[in-house]
Amino acid sequence: MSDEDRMDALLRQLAADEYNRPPEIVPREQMWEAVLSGIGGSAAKLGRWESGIARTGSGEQGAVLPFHKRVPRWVYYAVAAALLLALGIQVGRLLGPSPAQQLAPRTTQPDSLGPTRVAPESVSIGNPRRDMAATDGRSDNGGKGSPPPKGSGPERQITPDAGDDIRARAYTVATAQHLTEAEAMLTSFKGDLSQGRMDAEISAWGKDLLSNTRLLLDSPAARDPVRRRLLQDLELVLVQIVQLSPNSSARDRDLIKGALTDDQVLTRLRTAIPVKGT
Amino acid sequence: MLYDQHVDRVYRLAYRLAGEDELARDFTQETFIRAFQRLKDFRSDSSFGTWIHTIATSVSLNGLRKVKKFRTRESSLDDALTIGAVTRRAEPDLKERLRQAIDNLPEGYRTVFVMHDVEGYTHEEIAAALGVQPGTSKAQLFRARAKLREALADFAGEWVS
Repeated sequence: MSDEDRMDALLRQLAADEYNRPPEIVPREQMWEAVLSGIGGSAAKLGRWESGIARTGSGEQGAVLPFHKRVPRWVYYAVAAALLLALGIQVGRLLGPSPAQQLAPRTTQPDSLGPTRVAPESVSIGNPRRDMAATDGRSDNGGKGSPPPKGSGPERQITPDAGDDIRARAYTVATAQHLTEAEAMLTSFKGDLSQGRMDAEISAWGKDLLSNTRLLLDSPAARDPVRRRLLQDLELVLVQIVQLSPNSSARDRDLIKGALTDDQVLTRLRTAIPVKGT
Repeated sequence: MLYDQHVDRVYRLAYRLAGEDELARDFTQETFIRAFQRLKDFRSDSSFGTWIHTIATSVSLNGLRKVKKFRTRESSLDDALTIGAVTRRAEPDLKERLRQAIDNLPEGYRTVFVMHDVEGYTHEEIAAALGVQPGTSKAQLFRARAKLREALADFAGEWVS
C-alpha cells in the first residue's frame, strides 16, 4: 500500500467518524408527522399510495411498480372490449325485438301457402312433427299449446297469440319445404315415366315423402282446406309411385300420369311453393 | 412501509451533506413528500431506493445552495459590523482541518466523497442519484481525495508514520 493509499484510508476513516456525523437515533416520528402534513393527507391516504406499488424482487431493495404499470396494457384493452360487448348485448336485449317478434311473419298469413319471407331451409322436413315441436317448444296437444313455464325470463314470456303465430309459421315453413321436395321428386318421376323407365331411388324417395306427407296431414298444417286437399292428392300420387315396380303394367303408369295431369298436382305444388328471395 | 425502509439512509445522507439536524430533517421530509407526490412518475426500471436517493441528493444540494447563499449574505453583514476586531484563532486540529477541507471541496467532489467514502454508496448508486456516469463518479472521487491530501499535507508525515 502506498503512502497515498494509506492516507486515503485514514482520511476516509476519519471522515466517516467525524465529518457531520449524524445522531444514532433518527427522528423518524417527527419527520413522519411532517411528511403527512406536507402531503396534505392522512396515513391512510399514504397507505393507499404505497399499496399501489408492488415489489418485483429486482434491484437492490426490490424494484417497485405502481399498480397501473404492473398490469399489461392489453389487459385494459381486453377488459374495455368485454365491457363494451356486454353493454352492447344488454342494450340490444332491452331495445331489440323479442324472439316472438323476430319469428312472427311480417305479413300475417298463418295458414296460407303463399309466398313467405322466411327461407324454407330454416326448418328441416326430415321429421316435421319433431321440428315443429322443437320450434314452439310444445308437444303435440292439438295445437292449443300450454302457457309458458313459470319463472322463465322475459324472452320466454310469449303471449298465446305470439305462440300461435310461431307455430303456424313453423308449419308453413315445414310444409313449404316438403312441397318443394315433392315437386322436385314428381318432376323427376314424370321425366322417367315419359322415357318408360323406373328408377329405384325415386321409389325410396317417394316413401320418405309419403311418410312426411302423412305426418303433415295429421298436423295443424292440414287445417287449411286448400293445403289439406293438396296434401291428400299428393299422398295419393305418392302411394301409387311407391307401389310402382319395374314389372308394373302400363296401365298403372297411366293411372299415375292421369292423377298428375287431371288433378294438376304438379301445377298446384308449384303454385303453393313460395318463391325464394321474395 | 417505504418510509421506514428508506428514511434512515436518506436522513444520514442529508445530515452528512448539511451538517445540521434541522436542515437534515427538512431535506428528508421534503424528499419523502416529493416522492409520495410523484409516485406515479416512478419508473419501474430502477429500484425505489435509487429513485428516492436521486430525490434526496437533489433536494439536499439545492437546499444547501440556498442556505449557503443566505448565510453568505448574513456573514457579510456580520463581518461589516465587526470589522477591525481581529481575533487570533487557535490552530485548528486535524478533525477541524478535515472538516474544513471537505467543506471547501467543489460541490460535485464533496458529494461524491461523502456518498462513497463516508456513507458507503457504490459508484453505480452515486451515478444513478446524481445522473452521471459511474466513471464520472470515480473520477470525481479521485480528484476529491487528491485535494484532501493536498489540503492536509502537513499532517501527512505523522499519519503515514
